[in-house]
Amino acid sequence: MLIEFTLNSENVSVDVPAYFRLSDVLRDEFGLHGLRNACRKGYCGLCSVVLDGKLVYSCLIPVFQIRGREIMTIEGYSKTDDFEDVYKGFKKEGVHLCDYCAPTRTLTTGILLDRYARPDEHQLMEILTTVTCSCTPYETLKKGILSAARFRQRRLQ
Amino acid sequence: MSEDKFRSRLAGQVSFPEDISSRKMVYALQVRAERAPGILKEIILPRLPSHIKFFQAEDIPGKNYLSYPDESVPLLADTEILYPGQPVGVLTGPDADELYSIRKEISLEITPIPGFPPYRMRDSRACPAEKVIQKGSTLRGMEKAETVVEGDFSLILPEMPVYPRQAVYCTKEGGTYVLHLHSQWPSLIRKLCAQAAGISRKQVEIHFNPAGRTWDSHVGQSVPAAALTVCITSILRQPVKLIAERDLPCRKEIFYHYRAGVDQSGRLTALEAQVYLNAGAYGCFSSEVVTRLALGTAGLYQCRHLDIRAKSFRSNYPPWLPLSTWGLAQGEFGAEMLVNHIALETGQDPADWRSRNLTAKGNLNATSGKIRQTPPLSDMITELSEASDYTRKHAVSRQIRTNRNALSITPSSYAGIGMAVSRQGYDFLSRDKLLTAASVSVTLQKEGTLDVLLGTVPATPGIMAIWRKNISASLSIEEEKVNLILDRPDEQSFNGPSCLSRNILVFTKLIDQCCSIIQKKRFREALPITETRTFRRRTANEWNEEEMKGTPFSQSSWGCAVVEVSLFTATREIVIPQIWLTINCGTLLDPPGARSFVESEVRMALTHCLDKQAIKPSLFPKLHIRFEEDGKKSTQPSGLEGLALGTIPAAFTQAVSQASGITLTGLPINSARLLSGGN
Amino acid sequence: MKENTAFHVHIPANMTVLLNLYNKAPGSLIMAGGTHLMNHTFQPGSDHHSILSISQMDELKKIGRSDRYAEMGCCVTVNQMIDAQNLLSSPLLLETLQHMGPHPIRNSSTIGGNLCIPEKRMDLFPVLLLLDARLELRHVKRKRNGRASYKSRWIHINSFVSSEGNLGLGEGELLTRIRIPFYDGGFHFHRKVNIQGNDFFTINALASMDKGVLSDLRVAFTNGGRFVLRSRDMEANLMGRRFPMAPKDLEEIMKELFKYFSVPDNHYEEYLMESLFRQLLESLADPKDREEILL
Ligand SMILES: Cc1cc2nc3c(=O)[nH]c(=O)nc-3n(C[C@H](O)[C@H](O)[C@H](O)COP(=O)(O)OP(=O)(O)OC[C@H]3O[C@@H](n4cnc5c(N)ncnc54)[C@H](O)[C@@H]3O)c2cc1C
Ligand code: FES
Ligand code: FES
Repeated sequence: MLIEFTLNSENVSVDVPAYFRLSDVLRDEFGLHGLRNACRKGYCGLCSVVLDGKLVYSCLIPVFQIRGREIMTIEGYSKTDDFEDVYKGFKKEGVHLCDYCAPTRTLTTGILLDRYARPDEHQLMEILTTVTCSCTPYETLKKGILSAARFRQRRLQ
Repeated sequence: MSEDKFRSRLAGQVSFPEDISSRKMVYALQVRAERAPGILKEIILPRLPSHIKFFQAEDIPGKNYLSYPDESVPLLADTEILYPGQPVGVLTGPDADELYSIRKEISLEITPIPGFPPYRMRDSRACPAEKVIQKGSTLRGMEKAETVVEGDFSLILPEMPVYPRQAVYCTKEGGTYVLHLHSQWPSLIRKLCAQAAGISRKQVEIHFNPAGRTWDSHVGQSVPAAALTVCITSILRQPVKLIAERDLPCRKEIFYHYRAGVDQSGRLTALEAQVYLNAGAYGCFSSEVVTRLALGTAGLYQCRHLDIRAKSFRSNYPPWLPLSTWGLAQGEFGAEMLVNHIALETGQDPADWRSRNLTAKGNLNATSGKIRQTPPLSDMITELSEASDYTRKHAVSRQIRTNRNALSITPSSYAGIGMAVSRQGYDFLSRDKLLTAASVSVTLQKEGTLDVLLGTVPATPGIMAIWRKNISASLSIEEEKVNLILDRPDEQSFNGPSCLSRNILVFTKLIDQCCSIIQKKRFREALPITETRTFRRRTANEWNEEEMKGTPFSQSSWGCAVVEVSLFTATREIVIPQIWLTINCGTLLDPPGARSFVESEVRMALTHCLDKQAIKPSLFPKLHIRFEEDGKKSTQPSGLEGLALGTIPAAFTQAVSQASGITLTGLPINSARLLSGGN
Repeated sequence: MKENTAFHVHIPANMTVLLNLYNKAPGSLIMAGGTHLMNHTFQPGSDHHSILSISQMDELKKIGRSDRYAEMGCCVTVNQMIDAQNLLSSPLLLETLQHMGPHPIRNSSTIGGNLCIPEKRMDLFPVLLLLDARLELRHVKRKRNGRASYKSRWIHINSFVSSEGNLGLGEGELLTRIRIPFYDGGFHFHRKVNIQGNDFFTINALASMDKGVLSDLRVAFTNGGRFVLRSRDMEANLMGRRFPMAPKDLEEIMKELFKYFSVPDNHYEEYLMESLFRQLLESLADPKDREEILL
């Protein structure tokens, strides 16, 4: 099936079976390796991408569903000013993520800060639970997220 | 970490084995026996299209076994199938989905055979390792006892999905096989891959990714996968990507039986213990694990008469050793459960009992070695008791539980508190070279750059930065000029696994030694200067593994934890509001790195406690970690591994026992089990 | 490394095409957000399926309201419902929605998908049951002369699931809209307890009090998605009573609980049912949440 869509602001098309998972297509056909296919069950969150402005787990999305829609992955997100806020926030608070969850954690934090500009404890939990992470302390992550939120607010003021 | 590297990490520009592919690549999918135990008679294949290949044991170009310490395991089983899921063949082809559907059509003819006998039966074939610690005479010790306390405990570890999954990619470049994978066993992988593919070790080059928390138990997943991939690459002469599948369900269980003689004041007069560890179908790594398990089981308390017997037993489940901390923390679970039991039986405060009975300078340890310095545990217990208000909370919760029927209202939750201590040592106790070997080679080049050949996998992301900083400071070389090389096959000597905090302990020391010699030679000799330092194994005088005598660890770290739980009356849900953890691990090289490491181990410990595959942030307790440092410059850094695992499970079990009023004897615990009496 | 199941997909442009395709191939699977299908139904190497996709159809994503109810297309996602909370005006529904999985899952999973998972009743069902939601089911009927007649029926959510737990969808029939009446009682109660793995025991309740007298009560239990229990007799027995109740009355009601509900097989679930019901009665007496921890 020929599928046309917008990927990181570019119009692209790909010819793959309709039932392929979006995560596989992005990784194998477009070489976008910032997202990972770890569990394929919606548990780990490492395959998160942005579909029409909303975070989704791409392992649970069959590729035909993205026809004519807009996808952003960390590769595209890292070229935005929003990415810089998360980068600065994490750096400032010493959020030493390992290579494995770093890209998805960055993307999900940035996107959810759009929704929760000044996250309260409940919203922080919501941001944290999008991606499972086994190495970085939750308190450090929370500080990093709050710091990213502050950088973002300062920039947008 | 340099700014650019951090940025590219967040931006997802680091590749993993599963990210690598090439046009000519084929996928490989393992075919496994579903039923066991049995004898494999025949593999019945459907008609395979020409682009699909199937390989079985006889196709392995080199040796069809993996020689691990203690026991070899077949790479592909050809006769005996000992556990469900044992690999018997590999399918390869360009399309992964096609491999999955072909695999469904393969059938195996297996004639059933009897399984291994139950673990209590004496059968040498079913017992890969047994270790005995004997001191004094427990018979005499028991005679002096006022009471004899017995305890049966069990620890069943849950399955934890491991990310990243074990994908392996291998390609042949010239005469070299280049492997991409995750593992903390680079040298063993190289050796076993070469053996299986019938090539020389120098022909195997490894690129591993220092991702995530590397757990000791990875070996069983990474080595066979790597060896199979290299074998197929060598047969097909094409790049191969082995598909990572879910881990097989293991039976990770340990059973403890204790008998302790206790005098009037509650002191131990004799201690007998039998511990049984389910090793799965093969006994690989058993002797090191059983040794440490025995040491852990013996505990850290004064007792003149000891008889500790630890055994591993085989069962028809996948082999899964070595476990995290190689058995020491798990052994301590039994000891700490017992100690708590004794304190309660003799009407004492468990913190107090521990402080009074810990071994000190001048005592002999469990293996009759002299203790030269009093461990810091007693002070740690006192401090932690104060910080967590342990003694008061313990007494109050006990009071409430004892008088629960007299309470006019039913509280919405009951509280409980528990404590445990742990000592971890990081030397390997067997003298097996596969485990203990370690060396570092440093070359100061003509251009002023410094090449440091490590051959180890960094276990925490921060450690490489610290080494670089230390080297730069000791030789006055800019950090950018220090190249830390993880792997270079033709120059690499054999190194054991990067676990048990060996990076911090052994490699930091070897790097220091190399640097100080280079510093001395630097302006006297012509460049390049190369210096190699090799880890010196301890002599049998210091530690005799056969007889289990002497001082097992050259250096120890100490931990003490207090765990508080709330048990909700209406739902029997167990919640952990707070954990206090005090750690003494010598000089801290990287405080934020150490904190991360400890917290991730706490999460792992909580999966054991709460019987969950992962601990959600909303379930994670408030964690108070305190690192004790003596501030002396001469204090060496020591390890961190195992201190949370050695303390939290036992402390948690005690806390839940107290909150529920049920004497629990092991993990896992869940609400339904608590309701039906606990065990 | 795909681990995929091959399926055939049709992406109908409008309702008419969809209903006709479904009528011709009633064995097809409807795919909304796909979070359940991709996770549970499609395993590597499982049977070939034919899929009818509905997520692209705008008419199934509409949210509207009248003065009595809110109306959702079956493809409205959980997060869209949360964002439309003013429209829903039910704190119980909002609380339930907020606890339905991580944020990205809630962006994909739809209200229709959540109600139509064949083997399990998920979190929305009991809550919509208490709110007396009505469901629109549509299908097309072919006459002998080949002409089609398009049928739509509105049913109470109660009759959507049979006592054996089967969905009340006829051949070629699908769920299209959900009407959720507004409820103005001031009290709600929601507890979700993890019993094992990914299974939960839940109790949901709605009530209105008039000067200390219970004027309306609706209670539903679910266990791990296997059963949903509601007893109108039990509710009627409680209505009209004054709260707080005398301890004797409360004990009496507790004793009668299993007259109205069959006892769950599992002892823990039985315990949860009893104790959460007691908690509900206590909360009715004192609607503040009291979570006191001793120490
Ligand atoms: C990580 C994770 C966490 C979750 N947590 C929760 C939770 O806490 N609570 C909870 O309730 N659920 C939870 N879920 C389940 C999730 O809510 C459901 O998977 C989702 O609601 C299904 O919606 P969907 O649109 O994705 O359905 P689909 O997967 O598209 O479909 C589900 C089923 O319904 C059928 N179907 C869909 N739409 C229609 C229709 N209009 N008419 C007829 N049949 C139809 C499909 O054929 C299929 O059988 C979780 C899922 C995941 C993966
Ligand atoms: S791979 Fe998608 S959630 Fe884990
Ligand atoms: S930092 Fe390693 S998994 Fe998150």
